[in-house]
Amino acid sequence: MRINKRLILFIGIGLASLLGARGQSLPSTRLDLFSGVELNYRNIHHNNRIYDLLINLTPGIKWYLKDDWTVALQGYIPIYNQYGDHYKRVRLNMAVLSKEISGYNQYLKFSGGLFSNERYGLDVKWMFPVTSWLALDAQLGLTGFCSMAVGWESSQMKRVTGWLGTKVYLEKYNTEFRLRGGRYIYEDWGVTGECMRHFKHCTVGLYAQYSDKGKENGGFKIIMMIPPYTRKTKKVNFRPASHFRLTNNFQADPYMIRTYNTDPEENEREGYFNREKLSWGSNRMEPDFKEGGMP
Amino acid sequence: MGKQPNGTGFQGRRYAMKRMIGCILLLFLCGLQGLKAQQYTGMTGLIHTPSAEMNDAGTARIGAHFLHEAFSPAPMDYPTGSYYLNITPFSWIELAYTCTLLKGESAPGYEEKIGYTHQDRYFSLKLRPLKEGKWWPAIALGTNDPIGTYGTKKGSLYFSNFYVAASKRVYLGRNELAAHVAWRTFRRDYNAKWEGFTGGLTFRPAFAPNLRVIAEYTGHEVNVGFDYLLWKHFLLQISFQQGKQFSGGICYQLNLF
Repeated sequence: MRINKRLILFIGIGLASLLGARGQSLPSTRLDLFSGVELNYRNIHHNNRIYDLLINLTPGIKWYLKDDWTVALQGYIPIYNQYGDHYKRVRLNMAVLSKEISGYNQYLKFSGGLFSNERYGLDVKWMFPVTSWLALDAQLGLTGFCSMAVGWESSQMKRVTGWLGTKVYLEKYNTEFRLRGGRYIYEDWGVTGECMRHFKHCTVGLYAQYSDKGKENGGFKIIMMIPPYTRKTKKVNFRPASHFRLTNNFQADPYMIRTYNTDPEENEREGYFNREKLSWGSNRMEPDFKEGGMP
Repeated sequence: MGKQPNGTGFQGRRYAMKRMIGCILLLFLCGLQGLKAQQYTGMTGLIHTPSAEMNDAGTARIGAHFLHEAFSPAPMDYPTGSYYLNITPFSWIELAYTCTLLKGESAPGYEEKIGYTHQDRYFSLKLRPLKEGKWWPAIALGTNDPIGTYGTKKGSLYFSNFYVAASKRVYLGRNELAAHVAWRTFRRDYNAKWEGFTGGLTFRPAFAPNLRVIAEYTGHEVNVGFDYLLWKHFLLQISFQQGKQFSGGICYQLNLF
């Protein structure tokens, strides 16, 4: 019930802001309506199938407001489900209000609302570009469980999660190394090392992990930005989702070193912060989306 | 054959054509004396034999392959298929992730049958410390399934092997002939017949640069086949193990730069 009130508040703020922008020559706010497809697959060998598939349509809305405020909503519409009844309902996946702040070479993003992975609560992300090739970053969250998959289920918002990391970016090779460690949403402590190369409209990475509960794991990630790469920015924009992301988890462990997203289009290529303000890492490359690709 | 080529004019071109066709036929005939073939890892190489060749940096591939039973590790006595993702992030490193379908018994509580309900998954890695020069070959070190899902002591490790390979190209006019030699060692005994030295020849004719004819000796058998690049993006490979047992597949490839 508490979430319902928040949703109404978010929608109200966004709509009021959008209406307030009318009459101005340039849109100081923007509304993006987008949709993608989420493909989940698992290879668990116990039910006479090579893969179980779960395919969701993921329609979403982003309101870019004044002063770096953003409201983001995303729903799940199951198209094909072999994962079971828990995933069969049309439901809200994310509803987040975010605010970015930067100054003194520090970048912060505060978020509150319903996050992915059925978490709700408060989150803050931080990044400090020490040099053009070295940066420090961190995340801290206070969250609880919240699911609309089977009615309304929730727990109290009292789980603290967070990680501290460092990133090295070799601009000549568009290659990035990341190391981060911390506490994750299933209360495991772990560390992740990652190496990725950014290509034109695509990022490919390998990662290795260790956690006190899941032990060793690894895999790869592919983030492919989805065309059209030229967008015309209007007050209201209809477009496909920004990217398709494929992650391979070699041990197929769904609980190890898991965190949540606070943006429906969050990915390792674009990072957490507005690329217009943070010129570090892959943000120094040609933007994937030109002509108003970012607010 | 008493007439010598002068390298120019119609007669010269006709002679060059005859010589080239002769080379291709020779490669095929050499292959027909042995038998077996399959490309199964998604990596660059010949058919079963690894090589020191690398794709251009930024090349990515996604593909699938049919594997004849005679070319699979001993426990897999049935035809199967594999599918894979491959990337060459830099010119000196190539990576692939490959899944091969396995037959298995039904899970408890399901209708009893034997079917392709399992799969073997592995990563492959190839590093090329020495690039090919005018007088020396390219040298590469590589492995398929070096670790295994459950470590190196447990698990099937069907395709687990390590190798060192060398490749050198020479040009006969505008035709490319390459020689490849490799030494490899497998982690499990059921690949013992392929242990040790292996090698082969590839030939890319000037009149069809998208075609590469392959003949290889795996250490146990001779395989023949060819690659063909269709419409810039589709790489087809057809091979015959011992000249009669078909394996083949196709992948989509593109450069991400």
